[in-house]
Amino acid sequence: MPSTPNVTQLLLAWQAGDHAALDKLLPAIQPELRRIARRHMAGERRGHMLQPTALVNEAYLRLASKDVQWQGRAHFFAVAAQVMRHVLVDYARERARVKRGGGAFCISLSDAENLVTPRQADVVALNDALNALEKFDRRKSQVVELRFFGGLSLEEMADVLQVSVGTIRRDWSLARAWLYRELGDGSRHDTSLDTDSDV
Amino acid sequence: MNEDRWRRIEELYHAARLLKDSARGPFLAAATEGDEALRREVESLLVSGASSPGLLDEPLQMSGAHVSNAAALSGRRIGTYSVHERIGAGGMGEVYRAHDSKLRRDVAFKVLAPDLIGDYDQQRQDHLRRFRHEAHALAALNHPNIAGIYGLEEADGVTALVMELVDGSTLADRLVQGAIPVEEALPIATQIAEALEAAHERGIVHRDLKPANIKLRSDGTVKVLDFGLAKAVGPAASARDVSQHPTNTAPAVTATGVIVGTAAYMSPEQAAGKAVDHRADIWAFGCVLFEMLTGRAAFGGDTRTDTLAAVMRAEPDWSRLPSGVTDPLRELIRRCLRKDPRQRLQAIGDARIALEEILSGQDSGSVQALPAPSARRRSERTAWILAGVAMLAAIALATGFYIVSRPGEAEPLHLSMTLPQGWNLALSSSQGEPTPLVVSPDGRRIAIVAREGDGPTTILMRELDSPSARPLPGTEGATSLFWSPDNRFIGFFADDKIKKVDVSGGVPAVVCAATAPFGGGTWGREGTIVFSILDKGNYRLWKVADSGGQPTDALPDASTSKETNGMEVRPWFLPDGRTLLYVSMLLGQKPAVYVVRLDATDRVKVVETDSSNVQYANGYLLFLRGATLMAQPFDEKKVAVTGSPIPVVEGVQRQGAIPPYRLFSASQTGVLAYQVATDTATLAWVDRRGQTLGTIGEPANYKSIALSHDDARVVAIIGTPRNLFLVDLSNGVRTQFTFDQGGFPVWSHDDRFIDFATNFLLYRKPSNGAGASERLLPNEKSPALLFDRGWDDSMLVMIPRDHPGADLTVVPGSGDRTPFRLASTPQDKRIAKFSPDARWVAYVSNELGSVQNVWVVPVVRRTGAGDVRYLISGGNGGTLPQWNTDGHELFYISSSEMLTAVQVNGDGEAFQVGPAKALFPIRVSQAEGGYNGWHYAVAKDGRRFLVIVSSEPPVSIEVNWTARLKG
Repeated sequence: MPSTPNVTQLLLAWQAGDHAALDKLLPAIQPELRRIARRHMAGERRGHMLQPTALVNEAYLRLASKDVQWQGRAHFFAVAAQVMRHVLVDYARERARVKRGGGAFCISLSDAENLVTPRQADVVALNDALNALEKFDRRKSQVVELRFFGGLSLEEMADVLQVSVGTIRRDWSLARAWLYRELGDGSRHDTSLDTDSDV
Repeated sequence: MNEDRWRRIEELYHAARLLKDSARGPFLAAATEGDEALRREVESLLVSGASSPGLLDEPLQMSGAHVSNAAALSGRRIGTYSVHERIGAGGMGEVYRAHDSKLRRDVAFKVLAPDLIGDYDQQRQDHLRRFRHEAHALAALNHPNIAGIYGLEEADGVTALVMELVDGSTLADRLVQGAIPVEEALPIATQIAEALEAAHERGIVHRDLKPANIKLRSDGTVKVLDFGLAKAVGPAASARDVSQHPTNTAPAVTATGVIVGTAAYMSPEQAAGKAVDHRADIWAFGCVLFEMLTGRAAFGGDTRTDTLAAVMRAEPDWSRLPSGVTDPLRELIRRCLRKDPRQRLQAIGDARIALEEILSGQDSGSVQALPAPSARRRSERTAWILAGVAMLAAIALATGFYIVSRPGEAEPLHLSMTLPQGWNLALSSSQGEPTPLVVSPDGRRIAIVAREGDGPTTILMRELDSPSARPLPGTEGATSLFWSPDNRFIGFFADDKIKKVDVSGGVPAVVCAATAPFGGGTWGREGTIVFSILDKGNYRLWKVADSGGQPTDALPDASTSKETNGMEVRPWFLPDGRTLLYVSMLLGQKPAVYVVRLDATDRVKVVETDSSNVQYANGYLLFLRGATLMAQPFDEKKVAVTGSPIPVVEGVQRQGAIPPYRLFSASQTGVLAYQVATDTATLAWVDRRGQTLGTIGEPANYKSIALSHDDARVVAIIGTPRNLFLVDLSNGVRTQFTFDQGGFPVWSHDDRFIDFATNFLLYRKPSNGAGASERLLPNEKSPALLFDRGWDDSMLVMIPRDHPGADLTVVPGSGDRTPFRLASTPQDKRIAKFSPDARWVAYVSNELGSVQNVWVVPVVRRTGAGDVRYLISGGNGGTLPQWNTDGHELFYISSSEMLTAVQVNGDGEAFQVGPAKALFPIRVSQAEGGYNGWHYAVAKDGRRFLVIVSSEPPVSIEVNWTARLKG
């Protein structure tokens, strides 16, 4: 069990005002999260859904002891959302690369259902768009990260980002609109996962 | 996206969301004051924000074998087709290989995604009918260079286009390998042109021509795919609520919120949401041709928005065209890529003829003989503007003798240069700091990281003895420049790599991979590049050979203590090529310059500094105290300071975080370049010919101005976030008037009050600044806009309501104050001003179609009869109307950005409009692409105008700068 004991301490230290503790939390929980994610992905079957929130919850239960308060949990999730974003985007990218193989034309009938789904391409495109958003509005990209990759509630996000729930709601609304527009069609053409070269 | 722009988008987006759908358009039209780009941006966000739940609306779940329903088509039989494997998927749907059992041929079977067809039965039926219609028209296209459409198959609940199956790779695949040689590209282009010509003859426009839609068969045949499909799957006329908002010119949006067309190949008129004809294909053809020859998209950007911005405003980088491109070919591409469709090549057949002639080597200049639209020459844009005296000095400098052989004796010499028009120093970047200004060690060249408009950062190279700067090809995205010690190369950071480029030309080469953010690089005499990158939460120094290889720890033996364990940025090699200066930043401590030898075990603190960059030149250490550049004598042998610091330049431009990078750079030969931070706009009085009569006060970041009725004061919008400031015109003294954002200022008739808006709520405050703000229209829940106040204190407002047009509304200043509406045309009203006698209102609207014009309407309570309106700006476009105080003249800014005066007379019942006269050019469009506020105001005598004059601060160059330290 890697570096389990200090996660609770780090969370408590963070709550006590030691801001550096949050930076240390990331490396502390990363191996465990990745391990759990890998195990879930290896065992995936058709139709089996991989839920990051469930993974993070599992990691939280393993790593943090019961006496960490609710705020601690939110911050744990916030940090975990960053890890999950990397894990899931890498995963989508990897799947796309493997499944695409030598090009769409050599895929046999039985493989057809394992083709890159637009959904996986979307995750990568979303990640790119989030990076672009972060360049001019970091908080909004964080809100999306926390919600989409970490499954945080409005209240949890407000607590993590130290703003009001109303601000989170407004941030989410605009970030969502901006991302949907960016993801319209153009952004996908720019990624290596372009699947539009048809016929 | 700059901060101010994004804040405004955010403010408008949230204000508009409070409104009913039908009131949003008119509100935005007015609230953006004619900034079309801003309005479109917010409208498109409202559209995508209202889209049905999608990817983002549930926390991500990943499924191992997530398969869309359509995938189940494989192996199925649909009508006479047996469907085989899926061969692609895209925005329109999925494509399968299928076999037509009747005609015994393989076909491509394009299944339309259900969401493109629509959710509701009625919508679905409409859409299908239209789609069928289009498919039949397209099926009539029979040409060897067009992938044919065989028909539409509707069976077993599946709607699919049956198309010619074309083997081979796409042009997009081919372009991944880079540019295509001219002799190979020309036959491809000719066949594309032939395909377009055949389609255009039948009135069919492709609308989405791009490399991914062009197939290259192994036998050399080119096939253009998906003709007209963008339109076929595009929005139905009824798909948007046109009836409620007929002037909506937002880009065509499909039911799924997708703008039809691919950003990088979309013509400016398409991007602007205007009507599109065959000339959009000619544009796209130009883009494709450019990309084939250069290997790079003609227009690009990080985001779709950036790309569209480039399409609308930027010029392609013509210098990328390889040397094999002849003048006629270059001219052909230029003609295809004219922003204005009327100035563009008018028929693709002309392109085909030109290409054939170029191919057959005739090159008889026939391209020049094409119908030649008048065009402004743009070559001067890339010219640096240098004062004549400075030119001579620069030529003297080029001999080298003057500087190099006799430092310390010649007098210091100041040069000043401005960037080419439309270019700005790149002062911000998320990928580390751009180091936007570096002088070569020999002092003969300056490399600058700049961007044109919103375009990508690019290295501009300026030889001091040449009047013009040139962009270095292949350096898009470059930041953090550093020179090689032999002056031949520039190292830079781009695309998560360290690259080097030969300054005399050539393609940049990768030195090694590196991650952003980048903390600067330096190139030593012994062929070592040392750079700083953020790794494990701290900036550390790494080294790599300039020939490439794996980076290693730059200071493997140097011990760190608590004190020296700061972030190490901006390394700088001393002339020995072994000793480094760098800036160390440790939280809670002042940044300091350290010196260390690459093989040493200890680091030595030299001096504290207030800048993240440091350098050594001509026996001096250059660093910052506050915003002042200091030079301190430094013995490079003893590696120690030997005297006291001397101030060299005050107020050096900053960029970036804490501590900021400061814009200075010195050669080893006595040339020092820097930019001094100056606010970029000044207020000036000008006469009716545009001649400057005098400037007022200190420069500031002026965005919009309104003059008091007595000409004594101006209320101006300044800064980010935007606030109101009062400027006393007699002495230029400026005082802040609002502190929590402010905009849309209007003087009361007696100048005692200023009305303004904060977050689209209206307030009134005494203009002497004393006293509290009072809320206007306190019961109004909707965002409201106040355009003007009349002499009788009547208000001219727009309150978005749930009916089309959201009319101009007059709230009388006396009597029962019952509001009444003016000019109840369905079109949006943007800007409105009372005439001095408040009997008329001049306003801006697009009642003649897409162009904004200035109109005048009488201020009368309507009795049911239609409005009488008078067109002031002649129909060719005009905005920002202002009345002369005598009421007999109206000023506005014409579509060609001329301040224009029109004689008018409203003394009687009818309004008389006389001839218009252009007075002087006035620039209203900003780098962000839109009109950005009132850039002029009219004095009460009607003979003078107060205008905002803006400029980019020049880059200063001092030759022999050390001379003045020795006096």
